[in-house]
Amino acid sequence: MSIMLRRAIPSITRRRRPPQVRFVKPGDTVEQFTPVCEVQSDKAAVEITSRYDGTVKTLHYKPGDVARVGQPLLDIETEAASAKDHVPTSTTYSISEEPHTEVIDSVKQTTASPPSASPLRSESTTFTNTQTLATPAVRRIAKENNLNLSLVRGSGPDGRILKGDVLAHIAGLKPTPTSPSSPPSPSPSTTSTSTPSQPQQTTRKPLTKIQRAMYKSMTKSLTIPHFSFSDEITLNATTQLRAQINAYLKQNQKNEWGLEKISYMPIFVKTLSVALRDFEILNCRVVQGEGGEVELEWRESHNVGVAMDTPQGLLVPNIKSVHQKSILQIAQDLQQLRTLSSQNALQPSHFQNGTITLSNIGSIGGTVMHPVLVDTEVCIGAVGSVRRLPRFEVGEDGVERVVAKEVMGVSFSADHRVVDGATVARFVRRWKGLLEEPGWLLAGLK
Amino acid sequence: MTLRVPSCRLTPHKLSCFGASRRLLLTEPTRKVECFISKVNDPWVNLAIEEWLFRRKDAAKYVLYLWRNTNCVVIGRNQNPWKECDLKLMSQDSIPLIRRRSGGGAVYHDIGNTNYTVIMPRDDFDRRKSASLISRALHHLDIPSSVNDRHDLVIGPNKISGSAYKIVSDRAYHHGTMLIDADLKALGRYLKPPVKNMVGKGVASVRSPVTRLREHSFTVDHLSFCESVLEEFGRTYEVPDLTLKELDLDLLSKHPDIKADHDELKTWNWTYGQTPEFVHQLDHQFAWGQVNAIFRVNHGIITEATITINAKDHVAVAMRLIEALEGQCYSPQGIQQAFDNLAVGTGMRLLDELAELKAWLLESI
Repeated sequence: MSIMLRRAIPSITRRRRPPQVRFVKPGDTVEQFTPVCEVQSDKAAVEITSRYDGTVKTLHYKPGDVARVGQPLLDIETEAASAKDHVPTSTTYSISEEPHTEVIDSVKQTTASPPSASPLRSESTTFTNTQTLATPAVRRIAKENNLNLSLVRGSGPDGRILKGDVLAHIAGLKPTPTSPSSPPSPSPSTTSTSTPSQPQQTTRKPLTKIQRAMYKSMTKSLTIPHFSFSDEITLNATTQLRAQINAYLKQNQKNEWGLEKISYMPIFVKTLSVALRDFEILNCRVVQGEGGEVELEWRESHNVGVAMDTPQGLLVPNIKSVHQKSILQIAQDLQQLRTLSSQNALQPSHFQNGTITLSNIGSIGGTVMHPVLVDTEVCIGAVGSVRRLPRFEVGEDGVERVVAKEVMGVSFSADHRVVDGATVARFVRRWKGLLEEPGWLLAGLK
Repeated sequence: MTLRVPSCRLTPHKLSCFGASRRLLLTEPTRKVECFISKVNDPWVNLAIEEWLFRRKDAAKYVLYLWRNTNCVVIGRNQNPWKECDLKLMSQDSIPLIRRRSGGGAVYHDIGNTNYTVIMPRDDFDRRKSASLISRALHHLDIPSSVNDRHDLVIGPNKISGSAYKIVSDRAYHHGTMLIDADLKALGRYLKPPVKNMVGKGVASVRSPVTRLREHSFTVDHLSFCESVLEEFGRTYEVPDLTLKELDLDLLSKHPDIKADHDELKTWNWTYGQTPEFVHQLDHQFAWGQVNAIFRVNHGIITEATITINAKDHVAVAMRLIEALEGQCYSPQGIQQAFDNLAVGTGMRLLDELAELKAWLLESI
């Protein structure tokens, strides 16, 4: 059966000079150690040779293109007798992530199969390894001996299967990882449930790019003394407003905004900006002045950051100049940001120059939150989920009744070094007022 | 960090004073080491010999090769000669252009510049280690050199050596220049391209201020440099009593693959045709109109030409000129050829303008 293997760009040089490529063509047969392409990077011209015998299937770059380190270079289709992998295996050359260490010129190679691999084999031992880390040389030995690598316990770093492990397994010297009497476990988990003496399997993974950014940013935010202010907003009026807008949009399908309907967020964001006009200090940022003393930077533009939960993690792009945009324009921007984030196409400019952030964690759930400030801002708000709750209301006939209201919890955190509780309290009440009585928005329209 | 070391020959036991880090840890008891010096000054021959030494099947583990060339400009594998050097001046002064097989930037060679190549197994390849080897050799000559962040050899802020690398599956080489007595003014002239509106994918040279060893030592010269490098090579790889084997033109007749490589290096296809794609934009105001030209050149051939002439009589000429230029080499010969093809069938009244256009294009490319 054939296995598709991808070759990735080795990191033979610093990453700041992107490599240029010269290639074999699809359909060419390659053997182990024949050159497949030449890559040029700042001062080094590197000839990359094939590690496998096979046919070149696809090229990921054209000659003369600039390639990215760590990305696949070309796909080689090989014939492999072993049936152990039913999914594509990727051969990647790992990169040292520290830009300041000495350039690593020897290429380190790891082969890993994705975690969703290998259904359970119907062998008698219960030990299964979903991550068969092994070098091609070790895999070759296993293949030659018709050995399923997922049965071998690796003794190298990260559970890597070494040549010795394979040889010992073949010789039958390796003690069986579990007692033969235990039944095969139905789940493909690596920890067998039978013997208590088995060590717990832990794997270490480096942080993803987004996690790393979050780690750095939140560590900085630790130095800011936060205080929180929470309140409840009755959203009935806003819901009506939103329904009206959406009805209008539905009637005019081919509207200039390109929108089918809007969510609550554009309304929240615009009213936030309107409320900010009277509380500009919440749009500021704390900076170090030239003499070393602390200053407040007053910012004219309201660039509201909107927290988005994407498959890659938390992203907070911002909508620029909300103070100059209408609700529908904001909705348009929001839609565009969501599309870009789903395509992983957000640019650094989307994340820069945010002045205040609004997080809609309520789409997942929650009542009271305690959002953490971004260190370039002094205020952040989070809105919870909308719940239908009973509230007292005095009707037109003067009788107090219990009515159902749509209630949403909001929590604001602010930097207590420069903002006091009263300011935030008044600001939130102002915002709440605008949302509960949208007539005020109209009254302020110029 | 500079190290002033008296130039007496260091015996192995004295090396221990300078710390174990200076010595490579030996994993094998003996290392196969060979050292060569070229008696030829032809740049193409020397490059071909270097390639042959690199690719030999029965290659020694570690090879040192020392060579020097007559005047020429050598550019890196993926560079754009039109952006890196002044081709017109070079052609006037009969300085040839050569493209080498390793990466890196453009350099000027003359007989006052000595080149060194160190070939080693790929696993041992380390930019800093090989640059430090040469630097230590210079220390023995009382020259206070050091290795900078880009793994170039410098004395203070000034560069004395540029280097480049080539890496294949099992071997790698590091080669570089050493400005001993080179003509720095000529270097400045030839490596200064005229200002052009040219954008391309080629590797750009990183320019640095340069100096030469002569400014720092009265006694250094090509032979003393070679000897010092040889000694340091022997010390580093722990092979005493190394000698330099001489290579000359006989090698070409003995090894036809060297001759073949030498011939390939001389072809237009290699020297100019390996240029990555670039776009050159030019414009000029003539008496009779404004001309804008945009050339897209790939592998040295004009693949796309866009010419706009804002004089209404000349629109047809622009179209025909585009047709004539596309597919020609981006060189004076190519331009000349295009205009020759065009002259056939053009009215007499436009001949002057065409001549002016041709002169301008020949001047500007």
